[in-house]
Order: sequence, then structure tokens, then C-alpha cells
Amino acid sequence: MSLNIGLDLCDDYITAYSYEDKVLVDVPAVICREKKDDLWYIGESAYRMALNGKGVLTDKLLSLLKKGGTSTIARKAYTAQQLLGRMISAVLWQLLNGRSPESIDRLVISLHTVEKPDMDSIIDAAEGSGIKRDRISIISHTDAFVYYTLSQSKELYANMTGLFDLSDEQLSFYKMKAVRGISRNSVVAECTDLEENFRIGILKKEAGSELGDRIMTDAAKRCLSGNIYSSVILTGKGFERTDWAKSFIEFVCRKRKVIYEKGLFAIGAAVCACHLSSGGAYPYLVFSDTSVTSEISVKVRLGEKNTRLVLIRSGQPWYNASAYAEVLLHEQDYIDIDIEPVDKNGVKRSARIMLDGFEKRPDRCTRVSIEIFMSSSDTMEITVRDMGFGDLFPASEAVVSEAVRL
Amino acid sequence: MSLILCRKMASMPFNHSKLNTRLWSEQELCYCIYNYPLLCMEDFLDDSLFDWIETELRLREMASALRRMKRSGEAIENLMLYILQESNYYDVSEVMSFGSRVMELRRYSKAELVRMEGQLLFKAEKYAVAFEKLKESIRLTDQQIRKQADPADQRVLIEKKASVLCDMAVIRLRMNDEAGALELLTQSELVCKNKRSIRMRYLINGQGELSDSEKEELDLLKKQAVLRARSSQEYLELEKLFESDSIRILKESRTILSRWKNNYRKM
Repeated sequence: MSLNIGLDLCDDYITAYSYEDKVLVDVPAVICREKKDDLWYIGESAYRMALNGKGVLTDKLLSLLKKGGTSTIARKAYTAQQLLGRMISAVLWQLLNGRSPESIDRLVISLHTVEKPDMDSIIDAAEGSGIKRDRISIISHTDAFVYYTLSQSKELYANMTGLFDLSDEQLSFYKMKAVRGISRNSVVAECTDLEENFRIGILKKEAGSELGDRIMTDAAKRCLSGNIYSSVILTGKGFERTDWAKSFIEFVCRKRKVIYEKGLFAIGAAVCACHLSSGGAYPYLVFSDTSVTSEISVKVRLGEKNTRLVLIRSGQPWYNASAYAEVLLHEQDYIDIDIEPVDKNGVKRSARIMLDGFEKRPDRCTRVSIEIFMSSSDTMEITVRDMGFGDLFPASEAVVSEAVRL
Repeated sequence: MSLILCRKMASMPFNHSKLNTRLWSEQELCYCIYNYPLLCMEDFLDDSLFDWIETELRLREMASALRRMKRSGEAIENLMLYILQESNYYDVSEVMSFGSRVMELRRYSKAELVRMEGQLLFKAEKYAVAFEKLKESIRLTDQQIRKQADPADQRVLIEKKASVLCDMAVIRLRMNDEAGALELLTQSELVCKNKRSIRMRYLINGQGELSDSEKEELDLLKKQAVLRARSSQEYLELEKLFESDSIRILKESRTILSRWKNNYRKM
């Protein structure tokens, strides 16, 4: 039986979910090493060791990773990647209840914000658990939300679906809409980090609860206005209890289904893992804030016909989008990359890459490689390299690279 | 104007022995056939090429068709045309003009074809092999001369032989062998007096029975050629090379020497 795991990584919590076992593990994202021995603890155990003065605690590992920081424990410097790797490994062992993480077929990690420089470090950290690199993927919270919602009953997403995520770090609102298409259904989703946020510790007191309730109610009124929502989902530590949010709950429950799902992003990531394991095409075309919003293509001649070679399809997560092709130059010393926005109001355009410095050879005797990857959701990096023409005209070292905004 | 989409290159190349080069793609194969048809006639279009087309280029249908055509005794020119048509590297008009060029070759004698082959190899900078081909052309021309009864036709063949000797002198010059070139020009003049060998001799060492105006013309041609060479890309790159560091000079020198060795091989 395959084993598909979703992991949600945040600065305050790490949540893991096993799709097949339907088990959720939720651990504070802190790690502690004993001062004397090389023994490590995570979560509540880590807190206890630190409070007893027996260990050194490190928290906010994701932020430490982004800064490229280290933590010195017992005179040894540990990189954020190393600590995160231990953390992930420990959480997975706990989730799998004695089975080794090497038995995992697919691990999908969800992050609030996906940034290219961090992706490799996080995958390296996860690889340290014994999972092969090609079985690890990263998605955003928005994508995890989509995967989660589409795995639920259809009435949940008959119209718009909203999600409030309340944690100590922030308050975010997500929304998605499934659209029926002729050839393929699509989903449009986005995330907004709300300005209003508050430490959920204040909810322990009455005044704090009232304030929290007021903030949430105002936020809900603003976010849910203008659209019909079939359902509103609540997730995050802040919503583990809702007795503090009476007005908010009353408002969101009007003519809508409201559910609370602990570890929603980990569950969504696990659903994604299951889909990736099955290998088939996802039945929905997903357009989220991490999707490439334009189709990138180039006109080529294939056989006798002129055709369009699609290099990057719209709807792909930008951080996974890349393309490679090899072409021969025929009476031209440039490459035109066509950019067609998905939004019908967007303007189709071409980015011309001039091949300056490329050797002049007889026509059709210069083979070039075109490599494209997305460095962010709206910028693509294009690299064109001279490959010569076999042994007849050896390759030079000519390379042209450009960053193009979509 | 367009970009021609390419398939993945072969993991193992096909060795074109006459051009002494390796082919890695169907486009390179088409280029060789189109530009050097004479070098793709004998022995080139055989089972080893068809196997390579099938296994490395993954063009099973093309390979099967070529095998069928060869088994049924079709002319080599038809096989070459088939490859060019199916690959779409050249357009229809180019393939048709290739067809006409190749048909024209049938008009030539064996000696002339071998000479043309030698000239093609010279163009491809395969000097040593080109030299051998021209030697063979001389041998075949001698055979024709011996068989030729008509003095007028014999004269034509003798003049052709003299011209081939001048071609061989050009190759020697290209390989910086002036003495060898002059020897061949002498042989050419012994075969029959010809203007070409006299003009070439003058260009090499300033000697030769030419009128003043002819000498002036050749002096000017030589001067212009020197100027052109000095402003050529290759010369400028070579000059720039000597301004580089010693490690780069060594590296580039090795590349140039390796190329020369490759071109002069088999001599």
C-alpha cells in the first residue's frame, strides 16, 4: 500500500498527516538539544527540557532558514537546515508510529509563502529523513487549500469557498471558486494576508476575547462581501476553541456551511501527495496566487508545418515550472518568446531575445538550447546557449540570459 | 525565418569516414548529403547508416524504407532525395535543385567525379584526403588519355590533367609546402603549357613568363588578398590570442594544431 504524507511547515507549528492512516500529528516547531548529551527533543518535550535548564531550545526554524542563520548549541554550530531536518525526521517518526520515513512514497510540504531559494534547503532537510529527493514536493498553502476542498463533498464548493487561518503568526483569508469548463474544470484561488492579526494568547482573557471577536467579525464582513460563499472553513490554532468568537461565528454561519479543520494544509498536502503518486492528470486546472498566469510558447517549424511549442503552461505552480527545447536557427538571429495571459483582458506580447555574440554560421547550422524557469510568480529566466552543429560546426561558449516579467 | 524544432541528438554518432567527421543528428546527415553529395555516394548509404537512423535517431520508418529501396536496386540519388524530403531540413525548392544537381553528375566521367570529390574534400578542409583523391583523378585521366584515339579529345584530357596538377599545388600551398607546390606546377607545365600554372608560379615566387599588365594585375590581386586576410575574423582572433595569457595561448594552440592534424591526416 502506498504511503502519502502531507507536512505543513510554519514557524510555530509543524503538522503532519498520513493520507492512508488518517492520522494527524501537530507539534510546536521547537527543537531542543540536551546540554550534555547528543539527545534531541521536539515540541512539548523540548519546552520541558529547556524549562528545566537541561537543554538549549531553538524555535522559528523557517525564519532562521530564510536568513541562512545558525544556532550554536554546546559549542557546535547547527545550520537551520540541519535543525529543520532533525525536526522533520522526528515528526515523521512520530506520525508513522515506528515505521521508517524511508517507507514514504510521496511527501508534500506546504508553506505559507514559497520562495525559490528556500525550496532546495527545505527539500534537503526533508531528504535527511531518508526519503528520496524525487519523492518530495513543495506546494503553497493556497494550493493545499484547493486540494483539500476539492477532496470534500461538492456542496462545500458549489459556490465560493472561504478559509480563515488564524495562528500566532498571522491571520490569512483564502478563497476559491471551481469553474466548470468545456474541456476541463478549473479552480481560481487566492490568499490575502490580513493586516489585522493578534496574538492568540489574548483570547484567554475576556477583554482579549472581545477584541479578537470584533477583529474577526470586521475581517469576515470585509472578506465575504460581494460574493456568495457556500462554505467557510476555519483552521489554525486560534480556532481550536470558538467560544471567544460568538459574533464572528454568528456572522459566518448565516446561509453558509462552516467547518473547523485542524491541520487543513497538511491534509491538503497529503491529498496532493496521493494525486502525485497516482501519476494521472489532475482533473482541475488550478489558478492560484502561485500559478503561472500566462502561457509561454515559441513558434517553431515541425516537419513541414509551423506550430506553437508550449514551453510553460498556465496554471502550473511557478516554482515547479521549467522548460527545455532545442531548435535550429533559420534565417534569424533571435528567439521570440510569446507570452499569452490567461486573463482575457491581458495583452498577448512577445519577448525578443537577441543572440548577440553568437557565431555567424551557414543558415540552419546553429543549434541552440532554450531553457526557461520561473524565478517568481511573475518573472521568467530565459537562457539560450549555442550548441553548434555537431562536429561540423563545434559549439562556442556563447550564452544569452534574460529575466522577463510576464 | 523560423526556428526548426529538433529531436534529441543521437547518443552514439555516425562516423562519416570521407569527411572524417561524426554525425549526431538527422539535420547534420542532411547537411552532408546536400553539400557533399559526391562524398555520400559510394558505400555511405549502407546498412550501418540505416541501423544508426533506426536506433539512434529513432526513425524506424525511414530506416525501413531506405533498406527496401536499396534492396530493390534503386539509384543512390533516390535514397539521398528520400532522406532530404522526409527530414524537412531543406524546403521543397532546395530538394528539387539538389535532385537536378545530382542528376547532372551522371554526365561526368569517373575521373571528373573523383576530381570533384577531391575539390569538395578541399572545401571541407580535409586536405590530405583531397590530395589523394586528386592523385587518383590523375591516374584515371591517364587511363582515359591512353584509350582516347582522337587527338582533339586527347588534348582536352591533357589540359584537364594539367589543371588537376594545379589543384594539387593549391592543396600543397594550403599546407604551407611551397616547394611541393612549385614541383607540381612544374609537372603541370610539363604536361602542357597552361596559363594557370604560370600565374600561380608568379604569385608564389615572382617568376614566370607574363606580360607587365598581367604581372600588375596579379600583384594587385595578391595585395588585396593579403589585406582581406589581415582584416578577416580568423586573423584578428589570432592576433588577439597573442595578447592573452600564456595558458590561453597554449590551450588555443593545441586546438589549432589538433584541427590541422585532423585535416592533414592520412598524408
